[in-house]
Amino acid sequence: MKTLCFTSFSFSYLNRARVLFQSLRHFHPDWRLVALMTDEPPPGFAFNVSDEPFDEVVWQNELGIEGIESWLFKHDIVEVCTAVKGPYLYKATQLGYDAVIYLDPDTCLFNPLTPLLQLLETHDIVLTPHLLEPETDPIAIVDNEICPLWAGIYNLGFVAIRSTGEGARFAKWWADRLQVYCHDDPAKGLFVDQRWCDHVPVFFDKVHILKDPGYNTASWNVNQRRITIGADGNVWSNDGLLRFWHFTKLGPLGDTMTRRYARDQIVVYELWRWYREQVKKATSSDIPDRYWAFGRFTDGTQIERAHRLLYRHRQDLQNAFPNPFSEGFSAWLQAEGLKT
Amino acid sequence: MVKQPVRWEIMAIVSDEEVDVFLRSGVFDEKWYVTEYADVALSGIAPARHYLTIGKDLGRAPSGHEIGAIERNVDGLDPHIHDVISSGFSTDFYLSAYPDIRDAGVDPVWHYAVSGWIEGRDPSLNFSTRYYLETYPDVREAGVNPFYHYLASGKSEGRAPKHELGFRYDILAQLKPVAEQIAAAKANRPSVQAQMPDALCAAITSAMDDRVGIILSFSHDDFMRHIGGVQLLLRRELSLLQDRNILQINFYPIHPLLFMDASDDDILLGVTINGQNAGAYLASDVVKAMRAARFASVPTFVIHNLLGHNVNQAIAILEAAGAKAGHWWIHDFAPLYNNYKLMRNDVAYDGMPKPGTMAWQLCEYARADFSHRDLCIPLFEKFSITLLAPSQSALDIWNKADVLQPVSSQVIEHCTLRNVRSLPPVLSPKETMPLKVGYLGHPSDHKGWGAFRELVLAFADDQRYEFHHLGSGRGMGLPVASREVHADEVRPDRMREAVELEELDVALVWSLWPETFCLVAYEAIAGGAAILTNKAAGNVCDLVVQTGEGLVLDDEKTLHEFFASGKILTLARAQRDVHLFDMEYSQLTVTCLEQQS
Repeated sequence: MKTLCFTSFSFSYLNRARVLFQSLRHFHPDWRLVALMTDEPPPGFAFNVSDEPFDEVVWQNELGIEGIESWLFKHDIVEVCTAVKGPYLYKATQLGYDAVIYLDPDTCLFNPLTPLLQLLETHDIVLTPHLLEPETDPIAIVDNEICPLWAGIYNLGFVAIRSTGEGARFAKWWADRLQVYCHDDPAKGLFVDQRWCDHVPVFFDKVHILKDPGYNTASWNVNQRRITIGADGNVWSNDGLLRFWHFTKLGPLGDTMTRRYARDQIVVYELWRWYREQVKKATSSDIPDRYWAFGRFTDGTQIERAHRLLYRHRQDLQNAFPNPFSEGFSAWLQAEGLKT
Repeated sequence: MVKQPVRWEIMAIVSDEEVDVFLRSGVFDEKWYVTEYADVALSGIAPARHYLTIGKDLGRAPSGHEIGAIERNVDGLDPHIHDVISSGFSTDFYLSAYPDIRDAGVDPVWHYAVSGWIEGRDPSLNFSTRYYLETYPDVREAGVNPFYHYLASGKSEGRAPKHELGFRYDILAQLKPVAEQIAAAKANRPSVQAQMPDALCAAITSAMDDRVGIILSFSHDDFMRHIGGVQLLLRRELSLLQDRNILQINFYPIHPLLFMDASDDDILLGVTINGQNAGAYLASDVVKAMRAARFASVPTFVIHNLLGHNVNQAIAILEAAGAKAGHWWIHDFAPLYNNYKLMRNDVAYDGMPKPGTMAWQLCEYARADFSHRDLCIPLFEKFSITLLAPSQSALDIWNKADVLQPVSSQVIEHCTLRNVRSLPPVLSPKETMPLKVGYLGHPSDHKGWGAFRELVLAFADDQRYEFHHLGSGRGMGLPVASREVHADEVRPDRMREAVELEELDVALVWSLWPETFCLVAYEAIAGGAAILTNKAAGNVCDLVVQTGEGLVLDDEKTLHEFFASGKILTLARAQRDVHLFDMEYSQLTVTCLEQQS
């Protein structure tokens, strides 16, 4: 099956994306690997795709989104890096591939996704739920059952589609919604790209809800999965091979959640230790910490989330400042006492 | 029994002046020491000298003074903080876990309150300083003593004193990359003056008179000075060689290392000739001495261990001596893998990690920039090596690895069990409890101490069980009955005797690595205890299966279930036929030498 696989990120996540792409190259050397980048290279950083473990970079301004500066400004980094997934997924369905797979940059393959390709022989859309079984512990009910009720039942760190039929129809619908409504706003029933996909099993046919515990294992479901190293030296999740892990929140918060739910599963900590080491090796020292080209106005000052929300909700401001990154909008905010 | 000069050799490590100073210090209670440690009188070594040369390394106490008698010190410390910390502090744990504090003779509470917590030390088994500071950043940022915080307010706020992630989590958290481990080991090496090769050549020549054979031996440390199971075996082997008038020249690294040395360093080797110290020499000078020595016959060799050695330098020594063939003992798996215990990250054995697998990628030991296996290949290519395994399970693992090929192999068990007495079950439920459960030997995680500690902490208050520790380390502050037991060449069966004397029902031999030969498992069975072990424990597991004296469980969860449900009570002496055994020791390499001759 001719397959394209992509991830979406900014330069601060290049190290994680490199680790993912290295694992994809290892297990699926024939796949087309695409880096969907919503950023601009940091000054002084030489970004050469030929040196990277992926085949191609697609930038945010290659997605056909009108008024790209205005659109970008309406989103924070998480919102925009998830919002671009839809438009590119749809675009990728038109490039001649049989299947298109999205994986978050902080995932990593430990075994080939061959069974997934087999599923795509008979299904057009494959999603992985956050949780496969009910919880019993009260804290786990809050963390792992209630959280998906507002953030989305399915984890959109992964989605796989056929590029035709229901797969293409889903990609178009998702792309349309994400261009307008990819917001972190749970009070309005929105959680970026993810909550939308609760509709998928109803809106579309040929959907497969993948309940294999080897896929998309993470801190929020590891308490229901037994992670072991077999006599074959491979990593197992329950009775099947571990396909990919979602190393969400690399840092103290991720560590806390992992400890809370992995408990005494020592292999989980070995996987994290290994992953940390891989990310460290893949880190370019000339990318500033937390760098994002669209995190500042052109005058160098920081863009606050409040500035983005104001702009998002005020059509008059959008009309007045078609490029809100410019000094004009920054100056206006300052004049209005909305920015120091 | 080892000949008299050997004992003198042990005693000569500490000068008479040092012994005098120690005796005058008032720290040592000779009468108490001899009474507490019965082997001292049997050793024939003066008690104070015994303490300085052997007892101290074994973690023994110089006197019976209660630890609580240490003078309270509140210098530079709020007395209130001292009092609060004291209320939850385990002095026994602190001094057992941190021998440097015990040796310094300072008030342990004061030490913890002033600097111990900053150094990451724990005040008791039930509180993890590191965990508390990592988990509660507000405490860390406040700079307050974390144990004081926990006792004064954290506990009532519902904060956790330690994690419940299992002992393996701590092992992994403390594991350093191999390069860092080696750098740390090399950073604090004491300076030792190397002698000139002429001295070694002369010593060999003078020792060579009318010998019927010469054997070059390699060990990981000075088995004449250090105490341990393998060291006792080597002393027995030396004695057997002496009885047969075979000259033994043993090489050991002056600075022990847990890895074969892959650097270009000229290794400083200690040399013993028939057990007598012949000095320290650079490996390159040993090569010169071997070339110059005129051996009456072609030497053979026995490699007990090459940890701390440079393999190429060992090859050069053997070539210079004209050796062609020898033996290699599988005391551990260092030739196959950089972790001599064959474990992944020191936390688990799920089969030897193999290149190309995730187990290999995950393991710090595999990620080193050298490979023991590759280092050893030339040795197996250049010499005709007979592999000697102390158990079939060790040989099976070696053969399955299929990386180093000996010309032949043989299993020579270090000892065998001979049934001498059987006691029928009493079948009285009254006599079943409390079930006496023991850990034998020095506390060490890969030998199962971590599993024992968690078992004790989980069931210490359960009236059905009574926990014991037989060996060195004084229970490491655990609420167990602790008895110092040390075998030596004078009374090698001391552990067996202690198991029988204490009437241990069960010995937890929960080794995490595939033991090649676990002497304490034999000693436990010989003394009438049943063994509790796990599937990864190699020779221990096989021993239980072959003798039927115990149980092999899947994992620690099952172990705890057996204790919680009381299923384990079926192993009480009162509930089963108790078999007592004599232990018959092998002749080690001499067995093979005699077969060849």
